[in-house]
Amino acid sequence: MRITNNLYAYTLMDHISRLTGRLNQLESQAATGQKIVKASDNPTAMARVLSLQHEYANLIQFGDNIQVLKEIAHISFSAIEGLKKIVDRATEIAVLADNTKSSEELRTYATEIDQLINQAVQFANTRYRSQFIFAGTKTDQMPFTPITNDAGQIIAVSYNGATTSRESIIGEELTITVQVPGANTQGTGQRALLYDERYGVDLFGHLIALRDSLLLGDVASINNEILPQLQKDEENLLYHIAFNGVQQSRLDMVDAIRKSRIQAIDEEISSEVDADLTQTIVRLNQTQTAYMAALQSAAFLLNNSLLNYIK
Amino acid sequence: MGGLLGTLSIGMRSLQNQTQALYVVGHNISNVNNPAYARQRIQFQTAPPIMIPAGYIGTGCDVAAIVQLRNALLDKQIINEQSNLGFWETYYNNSSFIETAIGQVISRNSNTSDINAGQTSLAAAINDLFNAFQSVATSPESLEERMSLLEKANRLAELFNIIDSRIQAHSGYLKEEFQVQVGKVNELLEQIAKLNYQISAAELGGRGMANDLRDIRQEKLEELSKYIGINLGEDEQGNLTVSIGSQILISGNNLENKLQIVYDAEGRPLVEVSSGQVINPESGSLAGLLNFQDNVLNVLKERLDNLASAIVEAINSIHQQGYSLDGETSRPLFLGSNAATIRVNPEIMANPRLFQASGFPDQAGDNSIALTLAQLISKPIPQLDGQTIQSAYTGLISWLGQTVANASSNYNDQRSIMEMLKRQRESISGVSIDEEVVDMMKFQRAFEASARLISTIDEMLFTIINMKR
Repeated sequence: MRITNNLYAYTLMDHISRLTGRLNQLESQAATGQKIVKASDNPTAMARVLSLQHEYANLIQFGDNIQVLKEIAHISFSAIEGLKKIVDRATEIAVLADNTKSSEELRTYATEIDQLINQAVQFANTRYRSQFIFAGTKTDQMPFTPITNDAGQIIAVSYNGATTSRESIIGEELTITVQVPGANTQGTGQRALLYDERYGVDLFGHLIALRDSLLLGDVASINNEILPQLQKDEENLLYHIAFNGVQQSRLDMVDAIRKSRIQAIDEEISSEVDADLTQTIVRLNQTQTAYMAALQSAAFLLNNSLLNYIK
Repeated sequence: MGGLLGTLSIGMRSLQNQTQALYVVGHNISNVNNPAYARQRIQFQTAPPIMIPAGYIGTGCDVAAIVQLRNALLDKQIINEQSNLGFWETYYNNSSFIETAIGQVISRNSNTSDINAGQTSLAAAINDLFNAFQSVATSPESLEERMSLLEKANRLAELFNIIDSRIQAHSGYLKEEFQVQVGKVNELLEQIAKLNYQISAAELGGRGMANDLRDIRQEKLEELSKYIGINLGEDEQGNLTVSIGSQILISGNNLENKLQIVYDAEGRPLVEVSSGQVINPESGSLAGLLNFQDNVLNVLKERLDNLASAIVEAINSIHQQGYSLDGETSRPLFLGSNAATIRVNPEIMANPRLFQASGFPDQAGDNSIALTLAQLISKPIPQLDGQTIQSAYTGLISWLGQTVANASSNYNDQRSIMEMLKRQRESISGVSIDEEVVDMMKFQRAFEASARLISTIDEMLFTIINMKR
């Protein structure tokens, strides 16, 4: 094939252009650390990465959800524990209140029960940020409203909350509820914390009855009726403590799986997107060497022609 | 005639021939860097002999022709491949631009450990919105979570609007580009018709080939083929014809048709010749623009509009069944019906309490609607042919990326083909300075020899004249 000066120059420029293009690509990879930036770099890999990023974002969100739910569960646990202590003390008083006690002593016990009722109302109206945690799904309203007599004693506690709780997302197709309704008057659905006919639970009613019986000195009623009732209240609180523990364990377990999956996704995305820097730098050096060799040979050959040798 | 005077005449003609040869060498050298130039060679032929008593005697040589070294088949191939290159170059450049306009990139350079940090794309905005639904589902009474949700919904709507406006702007640019390219085509057609006339006038009566004019015409034809694929032929008189399909644009010296862009009822551009016939170019940058508009830009807009519309309808159909913190219902979360018009309901945007997360009018802590909205991201949507929102968007990006990758590959292949053909042509038609210098020396020596012949004959004539004193 006949080679002209310009043909040599075209070929040279073509090679230099390819080399500089390759240099540019490798330099970009080295600077960004990525072998894929946009979809046209590798459409299939881009589709996989988008799916992985979507899953990753979901996992982060699940983590945020789990964090909030753990806090609610933790605060719930503290409140339920507080109620349990109240029931324990009320039971203790009910046992102590026998025929050996004087009316004065019984009245003293009654005063303490009165205070316990007030404390119980406070625990029942526990809030987490802006929501009442024992109000079911009516979290914007105080669930338990005490009704007092002229002397300021609580004679009844009404429930204004809902009997249903909300589910929250903690994983793919996975939800959980950490809410406990304060009361359930429907007879179906979730077991309530402080009033549930199915389980003979009526904590406020039983505490008020205990106080009134103590004021009246009716120890028979305390022993025969109120003590068994308080027992049922205690069993119910134990149930909810266990339920709370189970829910917290479940949250911890799901969180651990989530964290493990996050790491795996990070590795998967890295394998699709990240450039092998060592390999990139080696190729960059090789291409640079080829580029310099091309320039050097070009500088030598382009400067020479027959004209240099004719006198 | 023979004798000394005949020999003198041979010497003189030889001087002229070598001078003309040197002129051709000079012409070649001056055009060494002209890519459109095909090297020329002088062709000598022996002058007719004359009869003398001793027999026939030669009378030197004449210049038979100055010929151009060109491969007509290669020239035609280059014209065809130039059209293909024009097509793929335009298709690739525009597709690549639109891919950038969509803004979907992967960036691992962020200062947080979150691999999604720094993402400002539609994918990230969609993820953010549906995750914000989850946050509200977890704390439906929280105004902070509601405000965050509405900001993310607004961001998503804005991104759709921005991408749509970029597509519209590019569509406007294409309209201008069509006109510019058609203008260039018509200008070139006029120039080629004029060159045809000049060539036929110059070559009239067998005066030889108008090599330089043919070079210019070939250059114009190649430039024209870059814009639109053309067919070359000859009419009955042997004149060059230029046509597209069955439509003749140039016949000999006459410009039969020009091109124009018209728009159909749907606003699609059509290429028409001046007689009103619509043509369908299959190669060249005009074809590339048409193809890009039909198969990339319009498809992309349609898919994006469909996605935006599906998101609006799917979300609103759920949201409107819910209740706000104050028990209000039936408000849509999004307004609009496509990528250009999608926006967050300004009433809700101004008052986050109006977001309808609850399934009951009097239960602010209920999250059933927010929960259903959050789970919508992984539900198949009928309007998206049963795909989920996330997979529909991923499919769109993957399709666009594949389109650009294919265009890039075809463009690079076509560039390689053109380079190879041009190298072949350069090998045949290109000027080599070394060859021209050798020829120059050759003709210079011949000129010197001819001058020596003349001076020898001159001395001989002087001797004869001075023989009788």
